Amino acid sequence: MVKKSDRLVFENNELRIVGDLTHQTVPGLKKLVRRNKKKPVQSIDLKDLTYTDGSGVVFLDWLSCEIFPGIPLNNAADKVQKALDHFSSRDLKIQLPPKHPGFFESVGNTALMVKKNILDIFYLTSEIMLWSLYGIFISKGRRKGAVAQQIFLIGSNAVGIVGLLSIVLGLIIALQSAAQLRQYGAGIYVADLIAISMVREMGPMMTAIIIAGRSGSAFAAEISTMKVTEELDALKMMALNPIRYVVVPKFLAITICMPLLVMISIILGIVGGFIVGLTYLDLTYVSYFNETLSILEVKDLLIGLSKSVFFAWVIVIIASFYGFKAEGGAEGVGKVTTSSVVASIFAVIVLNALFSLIYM
Amino acid sequence: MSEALIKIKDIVVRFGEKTVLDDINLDIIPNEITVILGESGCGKTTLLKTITGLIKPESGSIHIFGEPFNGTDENRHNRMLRRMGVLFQNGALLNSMTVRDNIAIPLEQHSRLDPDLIEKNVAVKLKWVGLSEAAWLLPSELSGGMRKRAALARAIILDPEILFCDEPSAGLDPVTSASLDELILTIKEQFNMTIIVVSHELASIHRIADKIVFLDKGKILYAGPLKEARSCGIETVENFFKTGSF
Repeated sequence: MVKKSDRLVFENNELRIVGDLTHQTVPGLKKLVRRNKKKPVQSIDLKDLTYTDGSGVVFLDWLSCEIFPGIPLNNAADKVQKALDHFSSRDLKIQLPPKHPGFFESVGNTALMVKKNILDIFYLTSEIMLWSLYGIFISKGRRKGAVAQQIFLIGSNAVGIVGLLSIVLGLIIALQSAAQLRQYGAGIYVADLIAISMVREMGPMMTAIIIAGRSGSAFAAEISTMKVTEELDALKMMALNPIRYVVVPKFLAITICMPLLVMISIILGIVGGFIVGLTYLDLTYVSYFNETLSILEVKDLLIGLSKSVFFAWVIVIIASFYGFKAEGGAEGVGKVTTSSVVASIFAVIVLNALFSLIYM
Repeated sequence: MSEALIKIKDIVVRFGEKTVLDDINLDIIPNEITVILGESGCGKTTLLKTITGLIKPESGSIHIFGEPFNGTDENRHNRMLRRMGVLFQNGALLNSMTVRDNIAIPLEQHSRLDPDLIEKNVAVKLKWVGLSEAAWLLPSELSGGMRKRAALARAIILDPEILFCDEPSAGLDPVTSASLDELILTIKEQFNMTIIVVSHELASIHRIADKIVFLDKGKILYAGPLKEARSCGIETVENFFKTGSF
């Protein structure tokens, strides 16, 4: 193997480069040049340079422009000279990255973006509502069987996970409260606590969070993929409204499924509490369910179910909003899917807080 | 005649029950542009991906630079890959990175060059493909032709010995397509690079090809100089050059 010092020869005020200049040999030679840059050099001889790639040309330009300014490159072979002519970086103006906007510009841009997003969500919501109602009476432009298919995807496929998590949730809440209530001989009130919390709060909210993560992400990914692959444009060109064709079936399906899933969640959450009551608190089957039924009112159930419908709408609207906003390729799809899930869960929790304030 | 740079022997590729490449034998000669052509679904891209190692053949061997390429250990395989560049059909630029960052990836990952030399090298290649102004744009902000030119700059940033191009002209207007062909020809002349192109654009084939490999239903119908293909006596090949389409 040729030593670095043999590739770069300083003699008689001349620098001679020997062998190949490639992206592999250049880093070592650059170090060697830096160590010898005080040596007098009046010409750079390339007669023994057999090959240079793009990195080598850039290295030679660096030598003759920055280290030994004004020193010419002499005796280059035809092939090397050709490379020097093609890939010279001498008169090259390197583009600098664009400047980031200043603080006030960023604040202004954000404000404008927020305003635009609010308007977009408003228009999207109104169009979804319009087509959901209007579409019931006019079948043209509707995707046949889409609502049923979506009910299957959003509802049937989610029963297992919603049910399992609700039982676990019921068990946890009951266990945590049972230990405290038993000290005061008030173990029976675990049934009240579980019933009220599952029907009014935990049932609708937990189901909405599961559906936001499961179906909301799928909606956002599907719509954004359709956007970046121009499928939505294709629908428009076929005189089909993408909102009606793609979003409305999901909207109708989730409106039907969500209350049903919440019902399942409530029932299984109460069953979870019942297991704790039966095993840990030694309550009887009859006393637990009598206490549960005595504390619940129809109003509680209606509040829980009405909340679930609003949560469902929020999930679809946010997923669609982000889906339609997607740009670029796979990267864009990933970004909007993540944003959609985060925004949906946040919106569900905030909306739940608002409902709690209203129906205190 | 020069010794083959790429030697493909008895390659068979199957997807499930379907045989996509059937007993392919081919020698690619250095410093030439070889165009692989044939009708859609005949196995052109599969052949290219098999040569580059992206698809594993069921049987057969591929030797590149005189060494076995398939079935070799990962380090040796990666070392060989650094001596090759690939221009994918849609560019395959990483969407989250700017054009400049995309082109710099191979240099940053596979060389120990200082950042200033990498910067200059990238700037030279960008200028060379006519994208100096687009350095800080994202791939999603580029047109189809610009994406391909950026991808070409990335493919040649390490000055590879072999360049593979998958349908470089697909989806481009004739002017952009011709300018891309010019770039490919210049690369070949400037670097004595061996270039393998998959294409079915007749105009492009005429501009760049030294040799053609004509595939039909996974088999090679003709492999030889472009000039002789018109009168090779194989009806499908002759028809292609007569009509310019399948």
